[in-house]
Formats: sequence, structure tokens, C-alpha cells
Amino acid sequence: MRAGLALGAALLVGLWFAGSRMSFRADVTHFLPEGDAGTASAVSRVLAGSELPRAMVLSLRGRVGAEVRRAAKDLAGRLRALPEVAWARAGPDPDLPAALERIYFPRRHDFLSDGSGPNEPPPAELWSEDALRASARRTRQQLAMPGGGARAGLLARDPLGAMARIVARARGTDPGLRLVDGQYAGRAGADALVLLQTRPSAFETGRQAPLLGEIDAAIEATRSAWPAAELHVEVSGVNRFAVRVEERMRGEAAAMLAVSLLGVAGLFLLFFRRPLFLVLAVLPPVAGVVGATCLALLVFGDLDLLTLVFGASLVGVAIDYAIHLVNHQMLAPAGTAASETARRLRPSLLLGAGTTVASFAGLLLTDFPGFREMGFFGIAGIATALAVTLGVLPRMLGTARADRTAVPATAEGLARAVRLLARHRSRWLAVPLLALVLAGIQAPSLRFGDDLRGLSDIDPELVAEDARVRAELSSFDTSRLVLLEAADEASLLTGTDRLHRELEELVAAGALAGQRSLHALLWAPGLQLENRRAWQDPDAASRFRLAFAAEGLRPDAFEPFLGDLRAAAPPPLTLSDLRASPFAPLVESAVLDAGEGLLAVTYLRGVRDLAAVEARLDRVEGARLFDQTALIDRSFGAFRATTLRQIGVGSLFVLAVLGLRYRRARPALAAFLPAATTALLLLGGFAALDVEVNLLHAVSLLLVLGMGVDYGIFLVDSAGDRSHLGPTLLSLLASCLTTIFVFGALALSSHPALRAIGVTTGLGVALCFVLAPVTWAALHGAPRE
Amino acid sequence: MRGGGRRPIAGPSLALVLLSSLLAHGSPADPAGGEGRLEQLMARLATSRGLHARFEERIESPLLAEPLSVRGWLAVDPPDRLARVTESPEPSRLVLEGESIRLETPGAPPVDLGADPAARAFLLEFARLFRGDLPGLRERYALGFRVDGTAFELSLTPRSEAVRRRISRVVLAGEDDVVRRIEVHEPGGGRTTTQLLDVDPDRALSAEETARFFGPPGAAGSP
Repeated sequence: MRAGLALGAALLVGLWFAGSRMSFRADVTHFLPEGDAGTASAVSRVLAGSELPRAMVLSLRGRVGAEVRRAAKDLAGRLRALPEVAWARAGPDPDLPAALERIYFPRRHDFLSDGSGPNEPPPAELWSEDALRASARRTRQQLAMPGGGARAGLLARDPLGAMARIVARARGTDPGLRLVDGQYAGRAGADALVLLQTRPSAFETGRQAPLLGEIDAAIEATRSAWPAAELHVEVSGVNRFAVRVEERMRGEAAAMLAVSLLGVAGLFLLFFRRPLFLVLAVLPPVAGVVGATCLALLVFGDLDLLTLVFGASLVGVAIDYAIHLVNHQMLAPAGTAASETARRLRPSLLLGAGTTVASFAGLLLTDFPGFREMGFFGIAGIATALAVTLGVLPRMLGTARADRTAVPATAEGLARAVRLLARHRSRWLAVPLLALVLAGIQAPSLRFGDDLRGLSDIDPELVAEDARVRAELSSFDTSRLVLLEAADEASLLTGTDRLHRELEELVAAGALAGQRSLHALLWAPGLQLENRRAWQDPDAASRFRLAFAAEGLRPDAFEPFLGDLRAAAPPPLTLSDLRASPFAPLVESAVLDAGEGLLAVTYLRGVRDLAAVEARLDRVEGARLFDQTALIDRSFGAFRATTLRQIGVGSLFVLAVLGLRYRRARPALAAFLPAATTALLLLGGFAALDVEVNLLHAVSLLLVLGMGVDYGIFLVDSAGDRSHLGPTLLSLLASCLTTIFVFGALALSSHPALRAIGVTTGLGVALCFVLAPVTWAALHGAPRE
Repeated sequence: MRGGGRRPIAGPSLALVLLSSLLAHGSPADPAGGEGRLEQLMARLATSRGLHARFEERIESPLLAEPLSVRGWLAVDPPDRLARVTESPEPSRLVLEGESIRLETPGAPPVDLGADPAARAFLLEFARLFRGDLPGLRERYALGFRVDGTAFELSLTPRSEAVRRRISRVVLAGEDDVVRRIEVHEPGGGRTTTQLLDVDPDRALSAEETARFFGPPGAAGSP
């Protein structure tokens, strides 16, 4: 009784601790291999943690465009008032024109041309007589345009159109984001767009969920305030996916837990007729989950949802230990203390838990933080559950045993069936051999799939809405980027300029539709100074006068421009200048701090010849293509392959441990082969049914191996004594059914990841239960009387 | 863009053209003199079914050694659309639709003039003219209206310094109830004089004309 109270108190403390510290993640990058700052995975992390995934876009349509735009302004104001919104805009920053004038006008001739193509000739060429005459003709054309006379003042200061070139570059080649009446409008027809950035990361679902609710409320309030607009608002944001996945997983976790608990409870009542035994059997895994959660929170700070769900399932296996103990105590001679039964079963339980821990330990050695968490959670949970099974449960059981239950009869029936099997042992030897042959035949047709989408279950409506809104915004590909790493700002800017020139040649050749990078706003000091040398040429002013006079213009009227050519030039523009200006948000999406260096991002549009792009990148030091989808596919593929290898290596390790324990081949093989045969049969079955084997199938096979070996150990250890064969078989049946309830519930999940685990593990355990006695019978023969 | 709920357009040219169309309707002798006639003209601004006219423009700028000549067509489609199609020296089209103002030139994407805060503010100010918002106009412009027999002249001088940096004064002059001349004076001595010819001040546009003036770029007759 005292032990029960102590355990209850410990559980309460653990629950309080976990509840107060619980912080969830739904971050797919956690399941990417961890790497150094320079590796592609690290880049992915940098991107995921950057400002980019914090962005949201709201697309507004309605009956009257002008009314919708007014409503969009109102909505942006309401969103700005939300504390978790960093900024929200319905149009360009109103300070941008003034900032453009202040920052660029004094340096406009330093940004006249980058020499990257026909429209961007080498800077000196723009100051040739021919080029200056062309500028003069453009000036006349502008004067002839509607309202052209009103431009005279600007033309007198900027007759070469330097500011227009700067503005055109800043707007970029994307035909997307339109401006209507000075407000954002969509390229696919949306009357207005509102852009915002959240303060929390998209994956901080605890803060994002209430924020999304507030955003919905702001949309509704705007809709009510502007009834004539008849607003239809659609939203895009990574945070919506993160929150939706978490909501679904939370909901499903509760449902699956209910199914598991009801199934297990029904099973126990059917077998033992005493609810107390159910409570006792559930205590070890519950204690294991609570203990593992507390330890994981202490070690990792927070937990990924997939870790919690999958980890809890792993620890749920520990119910087998309690079942084994309770079942043997039920069938023990009257007056037998549970502590004595526990002492007898201890070697089997320790060995079983040990091999399970060994199979989970492989997860700790991977480069995937998420899977390391899972491994830690599983090991901590199994260890806690085993401690409770051997240390607390016997005290709570006392000398209790079965009374008027079907247990003895069932146990005897199972034992009789196995003895029957043992009479024809040579016949059953064919089973593992047949499995080997079948798996061998099917092995070549086994297919592997590592598509990221297999790991997440995203609402198709949400995906479609997101795609519609993104189509309004830009045609740039956000998953395939060019990254350029550099140690310092000067190297970064020089590299970005070079990269821009290389990619512009591809644009001209039709291999690429467009690009966008920091180059649209800032050039390396060297390129700025190259332009400066061209306009500071002592003959530039006289050439200008001659050319403009030849085209019917009055050179003296351009004295404001000529005066600027004579004046002292300001220092070249720097990254710091832009970061301290209203251009900062544009810079943030183009330059990321990556550890000790800087990372420039170039966005691509309409890649028609990927090989040509990659060939160009080879010419630019520090530049490489970053395909996020391909990276994740490769990463999961590598992990799947590693896991399958670990199954092979781990199996040899487990076999060795069993050999040391039993010192003879037959019992060691009898303990090992059920699990190994099951794994082969499952892989053969996947191949026969054309099921793509992914990372989670591989992890599940690891689980099956651990549990299947437990079955073999329990059977070998107990079946040496004929009186223990029945109770052991009954334990295995109860364990198998319990596991099937636990993992069968996962198989019902709408989440493909959990479903893959559920199907593989549920089927695997059922096969192990059948194959364990068959293999034992084939190898060991009839038990001693 | 068309449809119920459209708001009157913003833009100086539309305002000026609508005003000219209104004046072309003819006004009875006004016993109250010029002031009364101006109020009457403003009150009837929105009644025109449409306007179609040829224009010849002479641009005098301190930047130019010689004045520049521009020719083209003007069209108004009430209540909120105006187009100015330039034929020479370079083809272009300025289209106002509702609050949207775009400039189209061959071989280049349309330019949204609404993105230019100064231009937009200037155009919106002039929208008051055709709305008949005389108090609003008086608030923002110093108005001068002279009548001499059948001839008239309306002068608008911006009160805002920002607008005055681009345009110092606009003068509309006409005779026999038809605007014949629009002058835009710029600071620094520049002046744009637009002569309206073959003015048809109260006619709805045909489908062909509508396509030419307001259809997508590249439509028949459009740049």
C-alpha cells in the first residue's frame, strides 16, 4: 500500500512538472539530420528560423475593388494592433520613397549599370557619346508623355534615368505583386493583399494558435466594418500548417489513447475479471511515459509532438512486463508472494528490456535530433517502467492470484497447442526457412520512398488555399534557392554581383525566367566605384553637353545634374546602411546570418534548365543550389537506409547477447528467429503488395525486432519448465493483443507517419506471437515435465 | 473594373475634359455673372454622356531647345473612365479607371501612376473639379473665372506647395461653350498648351471606340 502511495505521489509530481514545463514543437526541421553551420541541413535550419517562415499573406477579393482596398488598409491596421504581429502592410512602406531618395539619389550614378547584359552595359559605355544621345532621346520622349512637362525638374537632375533604373531593379523581374493606387494587389486578380510578419516562429504553435484566432477575428471585424466590399479573404502562412498538424495530432492522440485504453481494459476484464489488475498493468507504462516526459523536458527543454506520440507508443510496450508478472502471479500456487514471482521472472524481464533498449539505442546514434529524442524517450520510459514492474508492482500485488477466471483454462489450452506443435518440430523448421526464401524472392522488387509528404498529413483544402494566395504574390520558387556563403560583407556582395551576372546570362538564354537577390538593392563597393570612375571621367560632362545639344535639348538646363557630377561623392552604400533603413525587411529576406559568416539567398523563377543553373553556380565561389525538398528526401532516405542497416547490425548484437545468455545455439535462435523471420516476412509482404518502404516502416521494424525478441526470451526462459509454459503463452497472448490495441489505434490515424508505424508494428507483433511458439517448437521440442 | 459601385475618377485630364463637355452644353445667360455661371457649370459636370476630341499639344520646356509637338485623341466614358491616346511623336495611352491610373507604352509593361505619391495626390486633387466640389476646390486652389461675351477662362492655382512644385497654374479657355485650350504652367517657365479640336462633347462612345481607348493593350487602335 505504501509503495502504491509513493508511486502515486511520484506520478502526481511528475505530471505537475511535465504540465508546467510542457512546450510542444511541430517542426519538420527537427527531423532533418543535424549538421555543421556550413551544411545544407544547417542552411535549412537557418532558413526555417529566419524571418521567411514568419511571413503571412492575406488575399482579399470583393465586389468593388476600391472598397476592398480600403478594407485592406483597415485590416492591416487591425493586425498591426495585435501584440504578436511584428508588422502588417497593405502597401509599400510609406517611408520608402523618402528613404529611396535619401539613400540612393546622392549615389544614383554609382548604381547606373552592373554590366550584366544588354540593358546593363559596362558602366563606362553609358557615358559614351552614343549612349548619352540615346539618353537625350529618352528625355524628349518623357517630356512628350502626358504630364511630361511636370517631369522637367526631375529630368534636369537625373537625365540618364539613374533613379528609374534603381527603382526597376528593386522591383525586380517578378511580374507578380502589383500596385494599384499605391496598395498591394495580386497577380492572379486579388483586389488587395495584406502582408504581415509574426513575432513568434511559425513552429511555436503555442503562440501561433491564439494569434491565428486573433487574425481570424480581425478579418471578421473588417468584413463587418466594410459590408459593401463583400470581402472574401484567403490566408497563407507556414504557421497555419504547423498549428493544424498539431491540432489534428492532439485530437487523434486523445482518440487513440481512448481506443487503446478501452481495448486493453476490456482485455483485462475478460482475462482477469478484476479491474485492479488493469490498474496495476497500466501503471508501468504510465509511469514510464510520465518519467520519460520529465526527463526529456529536462534534457531537451521542449518536445516535438511526433516524439511524444511515437515515444509514448514505444513505452506502451512496457505493459508487457506488467502483464507477464501479473499473469504468472495469477497462475502461481496459492500463497506465492508476487515478489517471489518477480524474482523468478527478473532475468527474462531484464533481458527483454535490455534487448528493447538496445534496439532503441540505435536511434541515439543518428544525426536526427527528432529521432534522438525518440530514442531517449523510449529508453527512459522502458527503464522507468521496468523499475516500477520489478520494484513497486510486487508490493502492490502481495499474494493475489486468479479466482474464478478463464485464465488457467486458457493457459492450459495454449500450452497443449504448443506441445502439439512440438511433436512435429521438423515440419515447423520450414517456416523460418520459407520466410527466408519468400523474402529473398521479393527483395529485388522492394521499393523505397522518402517523400517528405509521407510524414505529414496536411489538409488538402489548406494546401489549395495556400497555393492560391501564393500565386497572387510571386512566381519565385521558395523551396529551390541559390545560397552563397561568405565570410564577410565585401566577399558576400562581390559574390552576389558575380552570381547575378551569371544568372542573367541564363535569363537571356531562356534557361531561367528570373532571379531576385540582394543585388537588386546593393552592389559590392568595387562595382559602385567602377561606376564612379566612369562618371568622374573629366570628359563626361563635355560629352553630355554635346550629345544633349545634338538631340535638341538645352545642356545648360541640366545644371543640377552637371553640378552633382562636380560635387564630392558620398561613401559607397553598405549593408549596414540598408539594415538601418526602411529597406531592412527586404534585406532580411536576402541575407541571413549563418554562424560566423553571412548567407545570401537568391530566389529563382521558372527554372527550365537546372543543369545549366548548376553549371553556372560552379563558377561562383561559395554558391550552391539548395533544393529543400530534395534535401529532406535525401535525408530521410539516408536515415531509412541507416535504420535498415542498424536492424541488421542490431540483430547480430542481439543474437550475440542471447548466445552469451543461453550458451547454446538452439535457445538463442528460438529467442531470436521469431523477430528476424517477422522482419523478413514484413519486408517481403511490402514488396509483394507494392508498398513503398519509408523511414517509419524501418523504425517500426526496429520496434518489432525489440518486442519479438522479448517474446522469444519469455518463451525460452519459461518453457523449460512445463508448468510455466501455459502462463508464459498466456502472457504472450495478452501482450500481443495489448500491443495490437496500442498500435492498432495508430493504424487508424489519419497521419500517414503514425499509420505506417501502426500497421507495421501491429502486424509484426501478431506475427511474432505466432512465430515465437512455432520456432521454439521447431528448435527445442517438447518441454520437460 | 466596371460595374456597380464605381466611384468617380480622379485625374486632371478627365476633370478638364468633363468640364469642357459641360461647357459645351451651353449655358443660359447668367444674371448673377461669372461666379453664378461657374457654380452652374460645376453642378452639371456629371451630366455628359461622353466626350471625344482630337488634341494638338505644344510643350515648351526649359530643357528643350525648340518646343515639342504632340498629337492624339481624348475620350471620356462617364462616370469614371478617361483615356488619352498619343499618336506622335511616340505612341502611348493614359487610362484612368475608377481610382486606377495607368500609363501604357508599346513594348513595356503598364506603369501604375497611382504608385507615385506626388502624382496620385495631384490627380486626386483635380478629381474634385469634375465632382463639382467647388468648396473643396476653393480650399485647395485659388480660382479665377472670367467671362467675356461667349468666351470664358478658368484659372486654377494650387495652394499646396507640393503640387506647386510640379504645376504652378492650369488655365482652361473656351468659346461658344466649348473648351478650346488647356494650359498647364510649370515652375521654371515650362508650359504645355493643349488645343482641343473636333470636340464632340456629349456622345456615348461606340463599342469600337471603347475597345480602342479602354481595351487591353494591343487592342485595335490602342498602343
